[in-house]
Amino acid sequence: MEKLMDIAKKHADQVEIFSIDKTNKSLKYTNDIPKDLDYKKSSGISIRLIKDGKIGFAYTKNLRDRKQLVENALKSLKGGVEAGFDFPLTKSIKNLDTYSDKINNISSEMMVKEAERITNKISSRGENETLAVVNASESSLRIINSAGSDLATKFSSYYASGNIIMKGSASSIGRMFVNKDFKKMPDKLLNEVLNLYNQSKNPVEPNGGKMKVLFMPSSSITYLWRLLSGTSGENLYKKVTPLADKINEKVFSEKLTIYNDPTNDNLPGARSFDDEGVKTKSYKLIDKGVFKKFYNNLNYAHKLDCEPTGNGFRSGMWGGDEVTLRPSPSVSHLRIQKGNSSFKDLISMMDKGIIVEGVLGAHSGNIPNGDYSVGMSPGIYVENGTIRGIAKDIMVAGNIYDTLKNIVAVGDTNYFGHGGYVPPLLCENVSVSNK
Amino acid sequence: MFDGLKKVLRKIDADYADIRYEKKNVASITYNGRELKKIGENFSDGYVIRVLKNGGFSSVSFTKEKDAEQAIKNAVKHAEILGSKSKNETKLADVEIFKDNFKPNLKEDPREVDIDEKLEILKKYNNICLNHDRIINTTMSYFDLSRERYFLSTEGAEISEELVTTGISGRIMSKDGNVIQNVRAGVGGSDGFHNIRGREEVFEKKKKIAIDLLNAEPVKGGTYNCIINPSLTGVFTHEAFGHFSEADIIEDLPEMRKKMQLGAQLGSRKVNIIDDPTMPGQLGFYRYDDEGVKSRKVQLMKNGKLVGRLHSRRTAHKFDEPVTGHTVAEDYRYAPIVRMGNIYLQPGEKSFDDLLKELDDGLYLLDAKGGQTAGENFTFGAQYGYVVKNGKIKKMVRDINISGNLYKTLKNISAVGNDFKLGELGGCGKGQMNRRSCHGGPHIIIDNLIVGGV
Repeated sequence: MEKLMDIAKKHADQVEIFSIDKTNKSLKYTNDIPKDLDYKKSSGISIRLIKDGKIGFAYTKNLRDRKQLVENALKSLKGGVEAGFDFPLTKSIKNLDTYSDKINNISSEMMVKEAERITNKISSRGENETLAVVNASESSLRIINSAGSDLATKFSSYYASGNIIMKGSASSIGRMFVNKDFKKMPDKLLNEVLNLYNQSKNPVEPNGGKMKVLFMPSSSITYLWRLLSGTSGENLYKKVTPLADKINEKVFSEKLTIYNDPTNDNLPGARSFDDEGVKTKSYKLIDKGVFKKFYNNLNYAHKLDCEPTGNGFRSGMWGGDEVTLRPSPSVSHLRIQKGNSSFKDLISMMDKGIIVEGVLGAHSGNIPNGDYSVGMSPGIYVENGTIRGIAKDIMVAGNIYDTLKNIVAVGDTNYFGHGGYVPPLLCENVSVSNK
Repeated sequence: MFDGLKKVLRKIDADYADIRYEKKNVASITYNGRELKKIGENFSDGYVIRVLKNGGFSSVSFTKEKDAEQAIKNAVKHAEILGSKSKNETKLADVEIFKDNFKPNLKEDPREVDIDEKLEILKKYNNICLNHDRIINTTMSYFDLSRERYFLSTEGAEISEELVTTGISGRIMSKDGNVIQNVRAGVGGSDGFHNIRGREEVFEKKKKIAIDLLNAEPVKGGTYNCIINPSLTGVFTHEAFGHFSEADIIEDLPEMRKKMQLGAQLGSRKVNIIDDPTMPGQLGFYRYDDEGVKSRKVQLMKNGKLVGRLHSRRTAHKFDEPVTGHTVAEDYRYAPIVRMGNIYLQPGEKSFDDLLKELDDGLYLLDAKGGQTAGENFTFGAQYGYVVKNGKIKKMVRDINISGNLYKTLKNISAVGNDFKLGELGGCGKGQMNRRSCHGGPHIIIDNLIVGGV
């Protein structure tokens, strides 16, 4: 990397080099059979150059030819993409506990054994269709820049999940467990899956109308996607957020508090600096319903004339391959403050409603506006505090700027869902349409 | 190229193994509004090895040649573990073995077009979209992507094929007061850069729709009979039906598999569905898939009856059905999985006017906006639509998401139009992204679609 820096410095005012090495082993276990056992190892390096207020970018997987990589970045620089910001000098960052070397002790055999155990717990002696996934990965990342930053970190990450497939569909009820190294997935989580499945097996066809909707962590992407669109500094700059002039205004229910929480190293993947070397901070995006802050990266902080928030990450809408992506504003460590209602309490509060375990179509519709209109994958119908069964042929629709004003209660447990570490959220007056 | 790969292949102690090395070139340019967001050309490469041993089948991917040995060790070990744990031995269906070096017939190779010219064209289309006071933003991207693939197997296959995809796609955002609307626009294809040139009218039309949507009413949630246009017919065919024609999706869903038996009458007699990657010039074209199997046209549904299925060599053996050549990877990071090529619903006999008359009252829905399935349930968005009353197109409606059940919907296809259009751009994310996923068909009528309104 240093040699590459020396070559690049000759051609540019500022240089940043980002490199990552990743190893991933994953096992997918369907019903009682190990289906896929895959191993991936990849490396990559990307470079950003700033010259005369313009920025260039290039990447490669194999650094065979340093000059070629610099040349690609210079060609990209010629396009004239503006960059008003400087790469930062970041020193004395907080040491976080992100790596356990026990991750290396996870053998393929151990993974198979754990997947078998998970399957046994939820399969009801083979009666249920099940999916268990066990995944172990580690990665190391380094960023150096011409301002003098030299930042490196190493992570280990382990996760396991157990799902029961609803008969006749591909939708499922499941829970995920994460850790920094191997640990048995707690039986409590697996029992939750089994109990909820057993109560929801029978199909029902509820009438539509306005009712309560319980967004489980596995469907949180529905509102989080729209909320993160609304709170993004990039969308503020582009003028496509309804929150543009709403800082310090109450926009949601006071039951909702949302953190950007990158330095919390109880969870895997904690970060003390982002993917462009800015120190990260834990802060509130939403505090008791009050909108507090737009998140941004170096580029949008400059454009909006404010301090960078340490949210410049190389991730795309569908994840993606870090080295091929430029840093963009991203909340990669989102956490919602848990409440004090147990799952049982939440159900008992539902006179009539839908438990949304998963959704279809979270990515379509008018996201900047906050609108959502999603199919159920699955949705479970509740009446008078009792689970009646899986709801057939319904859709849940609304606008998060209404729905999240109407939070009735927040669950007392956080789970990993798509997009964050979140509790179940019970909202009222949500529109449910059916056949 | 083949010699080096042969050496690696020889080191593998297995019943069968293959190796795919890929070079990937990507040029990409993005505008956000009037601001150029990114521009560049990049090269990356990597390897995928698949190993079949003692009835277990496993894959590894890696980017550095020096990691080959460790990767092979893992692949062989994993295949052995899978073999010892599985009840049924994994086998690969027999196929014809090819040695071929295939280059697609490109009318204009995007790799030979200067990036400045690509930038100019993108800028022109982007400016067309931005040129109105109610358009507040755009995201408009150009890309060309080439996969130079080298495939070798221990059975003697030696195939190289290039897949070159070009496109411009983006979103146009309009705003009036608190109402924000967005519409997608795109052009592209798999047979050259000419698909990109002279397409101003596409962006003009989409801009107008984005502006018109500001004055449209949100659609009222409920159940409607709908005419859907070829873009939506394509998404329905792909999302709701196509994925369950992919053997690797239904193999572990016993209930689904029972319903998806060949010979089952699943749809109305008007429904005929085909997947054909051999269609020259279409987005989903390829000659060989990523396990060296020559692609072929597959009839999936005939008069509503399920008559075919898309397979890999592994699933074809497992289902005891013919291999189809539909096993494709995104790039060197992935082992291939079963994918659609060009999937479409075959046109029927009705003119668009006939369809309107037949619909009488309902909705006319146009252009896809993302879709997703879980089992027999699907959800997808339409970019815009119109209310139809007494067979006449009336006011525009917006915020349309459709949801339904695959089997009911296939039976509810009550009329099929005589027009036909395939998509120019794709993007199917079944674990990996398939930019060449192509779908289409005619205008059709579907009865009793659930439309979720706000």
